Amino acid sequence: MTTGTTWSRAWRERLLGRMPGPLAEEIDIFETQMELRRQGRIDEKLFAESRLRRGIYGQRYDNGQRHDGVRTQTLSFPCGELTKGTQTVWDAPGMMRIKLPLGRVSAEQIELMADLAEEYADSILHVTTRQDIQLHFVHIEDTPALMRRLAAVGITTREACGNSVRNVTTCQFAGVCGGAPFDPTPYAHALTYFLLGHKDTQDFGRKLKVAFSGCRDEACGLLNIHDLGLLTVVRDGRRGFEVYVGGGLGSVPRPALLLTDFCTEQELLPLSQAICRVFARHGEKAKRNKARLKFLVEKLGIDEFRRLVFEERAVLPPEDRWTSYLGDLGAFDEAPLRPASTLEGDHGPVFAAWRATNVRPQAQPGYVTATVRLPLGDMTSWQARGLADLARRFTGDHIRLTIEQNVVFRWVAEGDLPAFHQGLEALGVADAGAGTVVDVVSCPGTDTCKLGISSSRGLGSVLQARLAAKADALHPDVRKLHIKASGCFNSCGQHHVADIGFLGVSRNVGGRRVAHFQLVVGGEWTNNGGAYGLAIGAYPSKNVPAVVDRLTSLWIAEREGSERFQAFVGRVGRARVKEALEDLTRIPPYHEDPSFYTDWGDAREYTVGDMGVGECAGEVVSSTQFGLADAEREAFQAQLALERGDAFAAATLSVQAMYSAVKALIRLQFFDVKEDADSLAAEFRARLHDTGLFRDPFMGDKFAQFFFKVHEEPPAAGVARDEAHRQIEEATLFIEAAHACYDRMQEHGRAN
Amino acid sequence: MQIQQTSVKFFVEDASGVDDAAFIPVFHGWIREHRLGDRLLIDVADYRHVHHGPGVMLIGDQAHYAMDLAGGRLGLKYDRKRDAPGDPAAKLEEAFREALAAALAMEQEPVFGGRLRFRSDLAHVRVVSRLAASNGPEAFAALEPSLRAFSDRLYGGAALKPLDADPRAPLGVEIRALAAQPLLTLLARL
Repeated sequence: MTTGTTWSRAWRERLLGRMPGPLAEEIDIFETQMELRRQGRIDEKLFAESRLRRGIYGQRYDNGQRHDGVRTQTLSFPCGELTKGTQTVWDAPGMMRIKLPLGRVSAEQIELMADLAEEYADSILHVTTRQDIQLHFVHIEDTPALMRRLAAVGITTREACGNSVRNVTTCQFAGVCGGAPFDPTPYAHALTYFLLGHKDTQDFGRKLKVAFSGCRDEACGLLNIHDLGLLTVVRDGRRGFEVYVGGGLGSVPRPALLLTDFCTEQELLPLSQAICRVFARHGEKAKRNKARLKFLVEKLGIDEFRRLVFEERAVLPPEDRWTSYLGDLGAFDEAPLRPASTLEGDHGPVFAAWRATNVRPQAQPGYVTATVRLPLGDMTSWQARGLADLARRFTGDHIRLTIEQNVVFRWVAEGDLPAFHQGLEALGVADAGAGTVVDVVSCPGTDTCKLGISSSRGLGSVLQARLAAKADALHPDVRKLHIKASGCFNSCGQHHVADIGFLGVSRNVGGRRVAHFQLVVGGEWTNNGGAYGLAIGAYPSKNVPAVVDRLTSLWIAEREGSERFQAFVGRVGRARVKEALEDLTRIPPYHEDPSFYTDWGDAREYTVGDMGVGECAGEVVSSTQFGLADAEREAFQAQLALERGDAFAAATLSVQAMYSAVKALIRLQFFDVKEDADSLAAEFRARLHDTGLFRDPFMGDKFAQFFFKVHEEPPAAGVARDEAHRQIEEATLFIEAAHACYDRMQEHGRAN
Repeated sequence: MQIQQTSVKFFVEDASGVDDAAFIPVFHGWIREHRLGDRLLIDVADYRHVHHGPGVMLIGDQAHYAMDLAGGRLGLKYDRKRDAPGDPAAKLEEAFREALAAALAMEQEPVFGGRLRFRSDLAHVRVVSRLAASNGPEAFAALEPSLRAFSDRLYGGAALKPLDADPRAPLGVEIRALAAQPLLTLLARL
């Protein structure tokens, strides 16, 4: 028995009777699975999915390799060959995702998570963009103890990761904002626990994300980006929901489509169950990168998907749970801790600034919500305990985490605000600017995520600090913008729906890699993430703060009247924006300024290997880079064509961009390749696809399939705008994949 | 008393003028150059954006190191995560030995030019394992004999006092030596 097991079992004895029976049993089962895995009696892939479904996730370097800025070193973990998944070393620290439905959390639960962060992690509680809390650098041996302690305060990590229904998110102001027809809280709670562990949700090819929103026009639940989005509506005096399906970001963003404009409250659970059944039955299983619900909806078409869902609904065996909760909706009514009050007088400029941005009046007179802005979603254990104290003193357990990585206290009596603010000051979390340009959202990126390409948190930290330092001098409309950064194309930072979004990529410059971010503009935060932005160009990470300054100044200087940022970009066009930022794409040679060749917050040179660049290779590099730059240019021209309403030209240029990228890569091995489409496709297949060179380590053949698809079915006249938009996205991703392929070929000496 | 997680923190003598960004390349260098011998060091985490947080951390397999900012006081913290072998006294000794060695290594980093010094007469010890020790007089009384014996051996006499009244905080003890002695001298005694 390991020492970790000894401690876990000691916690088990301590907490017996305090954990709900089924939860305790599930954790026992998982602990047994761990033991079987140690003995090699469970396949690593099976074990990996088992732990993922318990919220136990991998972290960067868990393959036992790490580049130290000079060379790749092996991390010699004591476990030897034992793994907890494919290329995932048992002893390597991982991430524990704590699933908090609706972002609701009590003072007791916050305190417990503070203890766990201190004992098993790095003393930091990280709030995610889906209202979870994540602990990092957790050893798998500690996870049963951790889960048992969570279970004792009513939290399960079940289905926090893996191919399951993920955390159900809901607007943090639900029930108190006054803008929604009714409070979705009890419905979201009911759906959460109905689907949790349900047999119809256990056979998905990928995850399924659900969100509730009370308001159509606000950001709230960001329904548009979810697999299943539910908007509260009232029709003829009856409560119900508009139901949206098939939304999602990731590498292939899709807006959700309307499944039905009115689903009664009685039908909410069975209809959702039917959606899950259709997803499980018809969704892709073999090709992971085609397995999200959005692809199924796209493949079938929304009409056929709808037909299948309602057909499935008609034959579902009835369950009492579908409607049993409806008799007790009031169980989620919140009672304030303190009497309503109003606030009079002047409490100083610091308080006033905080109140202006972080406090919202509730629908209930005399009460407000107060948002605690957490830098990059992080708080320490002692801060978490302090927030629990404030909850007990001012609001009771009416705390919710937000998708902007903050904490909201509901039911603060207005007259208590100065004392509440003083409490936050003592904790160092009284910064103003919640929901403004300084409140930068960021996914973990290269800090801890295995998929991270650039340091989104490093960038977020720098942008926050710089913008906060000059917040008073910023134009009031600039302050209202939202900035979001993702470390890679998986889009956990939700950059598509920001005013200014950043997406981590890398570029090869003179034989060295340089961290970059694609600038994404045109996205819409309001209207539940109403529009997705498009990338207009990649900028060196170290120039991104200057990009933000230049871009916002351009908007204020050249906008018409009070024109909003998104409208401004649409009017002046991406070419104008790109032109204004052109000089910021340039990178000084390494010997002039090596700082460009490291990422934010990281002292290591940003590279994945020692690249020997001789003169001959250097020429080849130049030729290839030129070709890839051509491809990027054509993709950008496609965007311009779309802007002017020429969908066919946009789609055609996108395809042309892909061929340019293909040609550039093939020329690394076969310079005299014929340039007709069939020859390029044949060579691409033989030299890059079939050899695995183009295969992305995480996305597999997905990007290659984008190319093969358009080669077989080129765009036709009359192509729809949405189709052209999608074509641009796919071309952009394909070109990024070409850059990555090129880097791999260089590293492995596969050129020529 | 059984202990899984323990931590020891030594404070910087004068933190004014210390550029905390400098700890990032220093810790990366420690990983690259195996500066702490056979300790498996994994990564560097930058938490300087968090008020009075863990500052810059060096993540390890068995333990983390940090140039920690808790309480607004910069110091080197050794944070043992995996269960160390031995009885509580051996675990305390191990934690002090590792913290002292790391503090010495930090003092010797060329980037600080000899200006970064740690107080040798003051240390904070925490038993983070709540299963073993909930913060309070009882746990302090249970820990005190072994800690006193250890601190007498290390310092030749020291005053011990509890750190936090909050029962939710990990059990903590301040050790204040009767006289300051070089870190190297202390390390040689362990």
